[in-house]
Amino acid sequence: MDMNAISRSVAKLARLELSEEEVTTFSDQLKQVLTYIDQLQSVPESSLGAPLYHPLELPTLLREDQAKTPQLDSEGRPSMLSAASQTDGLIGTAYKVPPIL
Amino acid sequence: MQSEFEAVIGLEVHCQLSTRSKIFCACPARMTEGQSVADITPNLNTCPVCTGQPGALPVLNKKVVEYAVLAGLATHCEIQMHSVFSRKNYFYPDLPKGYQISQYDLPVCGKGWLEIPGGSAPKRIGITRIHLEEDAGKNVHEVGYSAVNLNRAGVPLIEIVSEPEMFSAEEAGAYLRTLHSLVVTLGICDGNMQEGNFRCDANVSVRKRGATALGTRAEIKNVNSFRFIEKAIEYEIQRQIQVVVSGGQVVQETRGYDSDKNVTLSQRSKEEAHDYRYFPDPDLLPLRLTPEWVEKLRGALPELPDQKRARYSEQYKLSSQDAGTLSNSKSLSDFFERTIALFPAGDLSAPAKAIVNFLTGELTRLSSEASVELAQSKVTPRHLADLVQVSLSGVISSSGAKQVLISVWNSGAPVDSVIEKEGLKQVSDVGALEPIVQKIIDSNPSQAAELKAGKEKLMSFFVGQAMKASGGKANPALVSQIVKKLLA
Ligand SMILES: [Zn+2]
Repeated sequence: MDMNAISRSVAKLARLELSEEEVTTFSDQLKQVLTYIDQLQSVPESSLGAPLYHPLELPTLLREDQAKTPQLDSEGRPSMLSAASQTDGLIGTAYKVPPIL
Repeated sequence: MQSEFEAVIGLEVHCQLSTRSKIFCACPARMTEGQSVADITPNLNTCPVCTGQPGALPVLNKKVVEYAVLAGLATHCEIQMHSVFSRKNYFYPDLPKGYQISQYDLPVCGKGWLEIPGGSAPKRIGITRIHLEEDAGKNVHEVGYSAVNLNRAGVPLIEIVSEPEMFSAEEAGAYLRTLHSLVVTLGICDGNMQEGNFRCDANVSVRKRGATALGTRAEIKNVNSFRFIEKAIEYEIQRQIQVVVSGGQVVQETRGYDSDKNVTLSQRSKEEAHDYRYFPDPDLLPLRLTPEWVEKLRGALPELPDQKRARYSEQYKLSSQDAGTLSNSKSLSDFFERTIALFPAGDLSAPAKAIVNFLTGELTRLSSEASVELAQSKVTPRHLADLVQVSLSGVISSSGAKQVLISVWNSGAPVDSVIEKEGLKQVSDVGALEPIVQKIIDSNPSQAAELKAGKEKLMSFFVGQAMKASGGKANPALVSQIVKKLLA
């Protein structure tokens, strides 16, 4: 198993840029994690219960289907827009992001 | 050459659920009737949850769960009492959290099936699963930048995944129409394809006839009409056959459909695009249903298209094809029901058949030519009921009926006044017709003799002559009675 290749691929999926040194560091750490998982997998399945999806044994809460009125800021714009680093005046109240296409 | 191949098609349908609020927050998921989220000020319907702000927590909408269960019950799916939300991880600007909350290994509905109208008998198409997820936002691409609108982010979706059990574009089309009419009948989805609240991806592959393994498939994404999906699939089948015949190999990829050119085009897939690293979402506890809750929902199911089809065959003696066409279209079956309700109780098979003929023939043609929905047209169930009545009783001929329908479509005037105004009333008066028929018999003695001797085919000659002589107004059934009487 080429640990360095795995580290690079995981970093790419997470949009992280790693230096060669970091690749080596994380590959060593990742290898330890995978070794530990191998160890877990040697436990016979018959001795295990149902898979645990959440540490709490509670079902999820549900809310009634009621919509609340959207919040506006003092200028009458959608309130979430204040969190934007850039908005697009042309489209009105859209978030402006680097070109996708 | 091409018949040595067969196509295999599986479909993934995304339905936006027509709830008031989004799946995990109280932002409006839709506006007033007929308005789509896209019409609203960009980012108006957003909050910390659906824009993925740190610390904001999702809380599941109960109605969304109920709608998914209704879809599952209506498609005979195994309803899972325990299901889990997972994170599907990828980066795209319309996905503010960097993951989509979806369901992966434990969806809310397991295996089921849907029956689609087939040539001689309905065909059962397997459903693999139905799962819940949130919709993404929308990007608008401008020169040098893109603009993101998150009004749609967090709108509830169900994804209905079929087994690869359809073998032609027509079958895929029939499946989609059946499913569409089902979710609209259930009232869980608006079903407007242009607005994107009923979207379909098609997985298409071809293989040598008789082979059991599936060929490499291409996925056709986001085509927004039934007709285009059928055309896209048909094109893709032929393309793949050409690739194989010419010694090439089909590549697994995503393809888009260009409706102007009627071709599918490769959309170069992003590297590692399918490595979504699903894992259970720690922000959401497992969803637990109770048998009581599911049974209560089962009790709330409306009459479904396949039940409707069976009832139409039983109650009105409609052919399975007629019953299928009606029951698969909510607008046709609604119009049918409202029209047949205007007839007094009793044997309604004759009016039912006549109503279906007008609905699926002339009215469907007029409606598609004018691009006007039947329900929005000037023709009402009262018009259709009156028209059927005068047609069946012989007051007007079948060509006259067509003419009346076109007039009513254009003007909305009452049927009897149209008949009056356009002089379409058939002459059903024996006293008026007898002299005409007698004259025809007298001037065609040899034909009359042959008919009398048993050459039944000649009856149409006499009816035709009588129609001509009466300017198309003679009642043909009555003419033939009179001919028989006069020759007896
Ligand atoms: Zn929200």
